[in-house]
Amino acid sequence: MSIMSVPILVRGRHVMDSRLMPAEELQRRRDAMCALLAARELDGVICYADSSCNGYVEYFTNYNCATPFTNAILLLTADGHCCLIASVPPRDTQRMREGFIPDDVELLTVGMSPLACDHVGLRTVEHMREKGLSDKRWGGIGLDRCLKRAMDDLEAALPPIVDLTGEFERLRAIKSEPEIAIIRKATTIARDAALEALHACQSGADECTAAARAELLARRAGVEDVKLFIGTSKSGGYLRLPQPRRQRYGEIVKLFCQVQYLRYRGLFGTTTPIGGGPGPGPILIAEQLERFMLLLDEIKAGDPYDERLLGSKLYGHSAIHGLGQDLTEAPSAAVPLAAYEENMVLGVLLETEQVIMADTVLCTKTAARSLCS
Amino acid sequence: MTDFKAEAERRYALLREQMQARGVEVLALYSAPWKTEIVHYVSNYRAFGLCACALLPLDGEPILFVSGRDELARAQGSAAIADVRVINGLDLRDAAAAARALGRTLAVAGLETLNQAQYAAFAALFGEDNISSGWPILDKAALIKSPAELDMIRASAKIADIGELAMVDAARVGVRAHELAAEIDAAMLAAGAEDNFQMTSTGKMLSCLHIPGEAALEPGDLVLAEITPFRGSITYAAQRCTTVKLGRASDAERRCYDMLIEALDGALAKVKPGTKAKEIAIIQNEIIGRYGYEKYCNPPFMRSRGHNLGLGTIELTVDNELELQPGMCMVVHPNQFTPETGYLACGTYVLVTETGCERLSALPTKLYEVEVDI
Repeated sequence: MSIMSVPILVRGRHVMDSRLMPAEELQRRRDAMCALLAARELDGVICYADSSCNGYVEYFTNYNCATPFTNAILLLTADGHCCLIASVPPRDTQRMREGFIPDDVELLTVGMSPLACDHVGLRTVEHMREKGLSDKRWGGIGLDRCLKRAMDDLEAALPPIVDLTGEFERLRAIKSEPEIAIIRKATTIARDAALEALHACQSGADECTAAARAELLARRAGVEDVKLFIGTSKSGGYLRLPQPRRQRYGEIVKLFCQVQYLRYRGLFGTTTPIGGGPGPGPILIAEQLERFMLLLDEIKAGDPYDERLLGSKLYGHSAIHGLGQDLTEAPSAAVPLAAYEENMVLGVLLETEQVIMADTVLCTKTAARSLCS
Repeated sequence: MTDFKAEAERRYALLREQMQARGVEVLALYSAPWKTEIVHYVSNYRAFGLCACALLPLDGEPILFVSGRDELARAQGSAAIADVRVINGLDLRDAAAAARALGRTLAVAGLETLNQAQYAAFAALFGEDNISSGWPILDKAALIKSPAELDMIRASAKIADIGELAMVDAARVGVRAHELAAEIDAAMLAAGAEDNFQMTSTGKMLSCLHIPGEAALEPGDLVLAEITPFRGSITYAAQRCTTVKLGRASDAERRCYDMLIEALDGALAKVKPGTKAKEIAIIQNEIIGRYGYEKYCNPPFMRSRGHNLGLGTIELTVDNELELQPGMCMVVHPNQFTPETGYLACGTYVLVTETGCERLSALPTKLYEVEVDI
């Protein structure tokens, strides 16, 4: 499922307060990372983030690259010290410090501009040299996303960096209780928004009206970002942004909604026939729902992870991947962990040309269960 | 854009003219998730995957690469390019190989947003000396808007007006800033917008515009917004910069806002073919300076006197020698901090015409005041 909900543009709500993860939770995560560093005999880890992969830095600090062309590097050393180098407008530095970044995180800011957001690389190297860190053994998380110039600066100044992205992904794939609670809320809002759009799907109604209703419901519920995608049986079936077009009697409408709430993602997808009554729509939808429930029954802790096999064997196109602070986390096609584990949160999508079913689920010993029903 | 074919041919011709002049045989247009307008320009396709890359050769048909097979159906359904191929994640090796088969010299629009492996994929096949930035090629081609593009921008301007009126309607005591932003967005989505670059600040003695937060509106607050809706690509956006007062504006607020309107009107009176971009910035500073705020005509008390949106860069700075031409579009905004009022937002989107400029908004520029029950 590659539909992304990165904050492509500035909109929604910017949460900068204590509702985000408490310092104790951040400390627990840093301790786990430090244990990993010790096991790998590394002195520290360099984490990269921009608006398409916020989680790599946010997981340890609450810091989020909210503006599209900003980025950040976090240095977490084996003694637990954190230094965040972020490209942010100077006006936001104080708000960040007062609002949500823990006191023990050292904060360095550099300027920002749409075409030159690689300053964080240079500033990171400067900082490492000042602090005598440039000859240490470093691991890296998410550095494959790092801009070339910034990465060139890091590589020129440091010994070879050991990629720890896979280990980190494994670490954050198991969600804590506070995380599950937030994702449950996010998923509930995504479901409610999708259903609100579904109610607006009527013969002669404009798709944009459905989008507006979903947007308003989700944003009033406090999400930072919401995206509704629509696919219709009479326009190719693929998911796309809503268009100013009238819905027609008899067509089947697919709705897929993703939201970000307190920095965590939730998704939900459903399908409705326009006009109701006899026709293939209700039957197709009922069949697909049944398959979807069977699919969830087959996702159990301990079973091997296979992103597409379960669905493609029986049901057409499917996708199963982790989600959390980033829309796609491990296990995923890119980072396919060996097996499902308890307390993994997964986005599950089952789709044919005419019908979509999608939900955010919690993996248990016996099955995957929806977080919103 | 409903009929993109003719528009695409026009754009390809513009790009190829520039490519030829610069000795470039292949133009790669690369979009990171936060720069989708680059690929959109040649494909009419808005990427939602990890990245996208389009290749335009000097001769022959373009090729579009999308990230992830889920993007394939959307690209095939919406893109104006027939040859759509899938890449895995951020891996551009297949795109680099296809580009090399099309020519020996490469320019990449979006070069500065490539990661190391992506750049290496191109460098391995072309050699670093044969790779240049394609940004100047793309940006120049997009500077003058075509009639089809202007239709899109005019549609966005109408939607921005709807957003502004929704903002005035929703600005009430007790409403939180993010709820107000949601009302604006929903009104514009219903009117056909796909997205909106929105900054909303609320409170007293504001210092800038930013992403809306939690604060509930109180009597006497100012509400500032930059409203920037669009469909498809931000290159077709239009912007309104607006200020709403909850209650009666103070004398200082009225006086300062009148000053900003005078600066805006003064600037728009100068907008015509041949005028330099810097003149539009300088006249705004001069007018604001006449009222004793000369020393505030620099950051952080203001950020910009105006700019384009998306591709086709126009920056209204005091040293920009760019000459305005018919078909250019930009927002002119004398947004300004004063010690008496804090930051105020005032601006509108305009088109440079043969004889002057056309305001694309149908709304008057004014300081809105809404009644407050106390």
